[in-house]
Amino acid sequence: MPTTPSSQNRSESREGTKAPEPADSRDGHTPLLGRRAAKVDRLAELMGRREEGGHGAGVWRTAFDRMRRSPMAITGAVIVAVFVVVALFSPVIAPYEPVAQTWGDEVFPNRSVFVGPRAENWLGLDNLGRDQFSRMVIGARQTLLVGVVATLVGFGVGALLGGAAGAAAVLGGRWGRQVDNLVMRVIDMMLALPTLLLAVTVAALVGPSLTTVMIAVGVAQVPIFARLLRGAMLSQGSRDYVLAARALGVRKHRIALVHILPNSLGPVIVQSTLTLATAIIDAAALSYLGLGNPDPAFPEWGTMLADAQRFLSSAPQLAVYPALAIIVTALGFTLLGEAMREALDPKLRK
Amino acid sequence: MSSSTPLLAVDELSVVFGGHGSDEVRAVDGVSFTLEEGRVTGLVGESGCGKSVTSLALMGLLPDRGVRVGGSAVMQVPGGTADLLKLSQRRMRDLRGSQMAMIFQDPLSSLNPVVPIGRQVTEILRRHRGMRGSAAAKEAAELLDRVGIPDPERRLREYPHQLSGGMRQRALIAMAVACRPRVMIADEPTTALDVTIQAQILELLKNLVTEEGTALLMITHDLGVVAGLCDDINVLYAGRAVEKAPRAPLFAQPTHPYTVGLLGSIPRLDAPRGEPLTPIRGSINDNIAWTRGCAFAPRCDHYTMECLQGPPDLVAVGAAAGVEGGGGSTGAAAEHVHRCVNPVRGADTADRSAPESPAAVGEDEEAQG
Amino acid sequence: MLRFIVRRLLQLIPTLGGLSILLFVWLQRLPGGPEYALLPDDATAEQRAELRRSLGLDEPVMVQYLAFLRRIAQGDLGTSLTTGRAVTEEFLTRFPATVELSVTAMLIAVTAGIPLGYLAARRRGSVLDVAAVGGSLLGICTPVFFLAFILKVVFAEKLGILPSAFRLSPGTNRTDLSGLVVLDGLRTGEFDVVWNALLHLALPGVALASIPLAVIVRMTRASVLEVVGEDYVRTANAKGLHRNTVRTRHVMRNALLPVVTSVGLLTGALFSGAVLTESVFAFPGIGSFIYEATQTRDYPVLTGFILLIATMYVFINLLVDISYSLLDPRVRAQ
Repeated sequence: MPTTPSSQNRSESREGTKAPEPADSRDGHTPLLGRRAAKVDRLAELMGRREEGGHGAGVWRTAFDRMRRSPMAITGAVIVAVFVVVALFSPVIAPYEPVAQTWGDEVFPNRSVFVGPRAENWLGLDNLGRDQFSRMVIGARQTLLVGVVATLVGFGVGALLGGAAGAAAVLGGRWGRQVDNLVMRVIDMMLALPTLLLAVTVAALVGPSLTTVMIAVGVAQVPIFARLLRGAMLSQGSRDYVLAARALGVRKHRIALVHILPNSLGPVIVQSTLTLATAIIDAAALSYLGLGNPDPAFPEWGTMLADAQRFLSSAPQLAVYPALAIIVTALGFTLLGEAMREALDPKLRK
Repeated sequence: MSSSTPLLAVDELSVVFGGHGSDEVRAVDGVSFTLEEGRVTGLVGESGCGKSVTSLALMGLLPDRGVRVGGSAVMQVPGGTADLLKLSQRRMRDLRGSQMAMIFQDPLSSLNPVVPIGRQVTEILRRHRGMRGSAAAKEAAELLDRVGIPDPERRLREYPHQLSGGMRQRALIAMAVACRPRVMIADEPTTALDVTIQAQILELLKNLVTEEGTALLMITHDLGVVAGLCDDINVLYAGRAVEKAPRAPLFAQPTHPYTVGLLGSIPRLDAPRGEPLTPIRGSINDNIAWTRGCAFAPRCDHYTMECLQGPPDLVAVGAAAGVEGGGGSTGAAAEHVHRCVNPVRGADTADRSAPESPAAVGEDEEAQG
Repeated sequence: MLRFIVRRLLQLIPTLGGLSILLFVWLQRLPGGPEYALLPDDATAEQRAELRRSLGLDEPVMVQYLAFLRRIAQGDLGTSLTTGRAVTEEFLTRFPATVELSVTAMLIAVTAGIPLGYLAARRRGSVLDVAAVGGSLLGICTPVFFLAFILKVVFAEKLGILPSAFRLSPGTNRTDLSGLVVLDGLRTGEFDVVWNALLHLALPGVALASIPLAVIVRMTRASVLEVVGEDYVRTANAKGLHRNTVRTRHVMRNALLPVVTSVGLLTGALFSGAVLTESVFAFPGIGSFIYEATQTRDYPVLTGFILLIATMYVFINLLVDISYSLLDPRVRAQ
């Protein structure tokens, strides 16, 4: 609280200009200065207890502090951390080769003979006698890859489109508004295509593969990112500090890059976290539609789930493991994203 | 008109927000005042001093959870008296709107944006006076007319965003007076309005009080409003009354440094050219707990060691020390109370005289008493 | 009002035009065109070229697109490569089933979601609130087709209390008026058909409702939390109005405005979900047909259906915008 010290100084000086205080009987022995110091000390002591917090910490710092106390954020962060660690170190963690049909002679799907969890295969065997646990662990890596690449595609293209439209609209004058208008029409067009159908279209174009899924899911996220960043930039662009920067003669691209863009990134970063969840779910849906990676060497949760549907009534665990993995991972990213959104949104802080 | 028993007697009202122990906030801390028919009582102070919370507590509009309300607010209602703070929710709903009404600060946000004005006026007529259909519509038009809205039939069909700021506040006042309440609370009713409109709204409120004999509780930070309208004034600081007096003595002889500060913050037309305003420094957040001393001390130019030695009491002005040149009848002095151990003796002379010496005597006596 | 509608309609033209280009170009670039999907693997190169020529696939892209546009203008979206019937005809025969399913799902989502969201907001922090918020997060994170499969296995296969496929039990006789089974049944008085159809709608309806339900619960909750803190709700309470009046006229009337918008946007998610749900439940709507078309690369069907769905989506959102402006006088004024 910056007012306190300065105001005290002022009151000090003001009292100093007054007629000299007559040393009254009570404080007769105390020197004048000492009395005043005691007063100030006493006041500081009484007020001192409320001195924490409220200092000009950055938006992100305060948001981080708030998230550290939110059970939602902690749960999300733990899930995401576990998922990322498993995905990164999957070859080390997986006990067996994901493609090796080592126990192929123990499983007979057409006779409904499956092998559940046991000491050597923690999650049992899949329909071809492969170790389910190893496939799940290797699958985490594929899922993370799909999620991250798809999000990067969506973020990259979307931010480029949205950022260009936003910057043009804010700073480009009449010409800029035309550019903005054109870009927004394209984005509206993409928005009119339901996400999954957009992904299906892309996937049908490129043919089934992991790349297809990544691009398809990413492209479907482009309009969301673009709209979000543009909206944030437009609202930032009408702020006084932009006007001030323009009045000072700062060049336009510098205003856009140094002032507007960094202040508009909050919602986009939140959206990226949420998109990771969406991407994982959408990827699973595409795999189910037969547009995913057909290569068994790279098991992916969505493909595993799609494959396991056939045995759902006889061996539900085959579907439940990848489904749970997808749900929990998506939940982790969603919780983290929502907590971040809440922490950053001034309206929700109370 | 019975001047002996007040219409509403608020005694030691306290409102505590928040959980237990150190987290809690005492927004209102033992405030007492009375409302009488045909009189305007003012609650004055900066934002955050507890004046709005006081009004919401009286209306029973504080949230159910996380709030503790103490004290009493005895009101004369049809068929006896009732303590507003202890009535059931259902009973309070019956009283609100019919016996007591409230006018809020921001007329735009206080009106439902998607419901026509007419509906918002007739719903209260329907609720408390059982009027419906064309009778209610006719009465609503009359009400709008009475608060000075031209072309009321058309306005009834319009939505809040189609009205000007002053018109919206008039519409809110029309709703408040719809059932001729005996107590009306106005919470900063003119803050969001233009100066010219402010004067019109205040005039309207004044007329309603004189014509209907309503008791008005005026909540404001604007001493100009107080001077023009209020009969009795309570100055609040950090949840406690620091000075209360009828209008004349308060303006003539403010004694609490906070009141003096508030008066010093008003620009005056008759002030010499170039004379700077003297604002109160700091903000309402720069306070200390009342239990430890005077909450205003950190912002006070007059504070002494005495001010930091525990809670000051509300005492009659001149009761502790002789009022030099204070004059006024003894009655006026009894009505004029303050919560200060080192009061200002005559606002205009505050800077010239050296108040330390007599004040020190007063402090000593108080400390002993 | 009329001007608002006309302006919105004009805005649709470039959107839809661009959409047609986008789809046309994308689907033209498909590797392994229909000549591979339609002809047996051992077909000769001449046979493939012949098929391409007969389908007009050897013309320049621009010519093909103009021909495509001309045909669209005439309501001709081409012929399905697998069934040999007109795409529009395929669409129209399957569309009522999807409408029925989508409406069911939306009704479930709205009737359950709004009260749940309201209660969660009013009892913030209660068990109900935590359950509603947690449940809706879970709903958003569960793949629709997995939920559909679980429902099918549990209720149809294990418990056997609900049918698992098709719109009606085989052999059901009904009078067809519009293709909407439930509505037709109600009009002709064939209530056994209505009941039968509703049973068939139950599982796919619930599966399809999961995401809209989750979104509506969260949306309503957030919106109510915001509105109950508004000054006009305090005013309504200060007027002593009955709790019910405050709740309906002052809280919900305002809190539902953003929910209305979200319902429009959710129709997009519904169409995506329909592809998955219908294929799981062998529900003969446009979704399952799109699924089949992806498997066979029947791209006139894909282009046509997606164009029609996008058009519908755009029009539904136009309707939502119009109804929103009817609900909110502030929008109407602009």
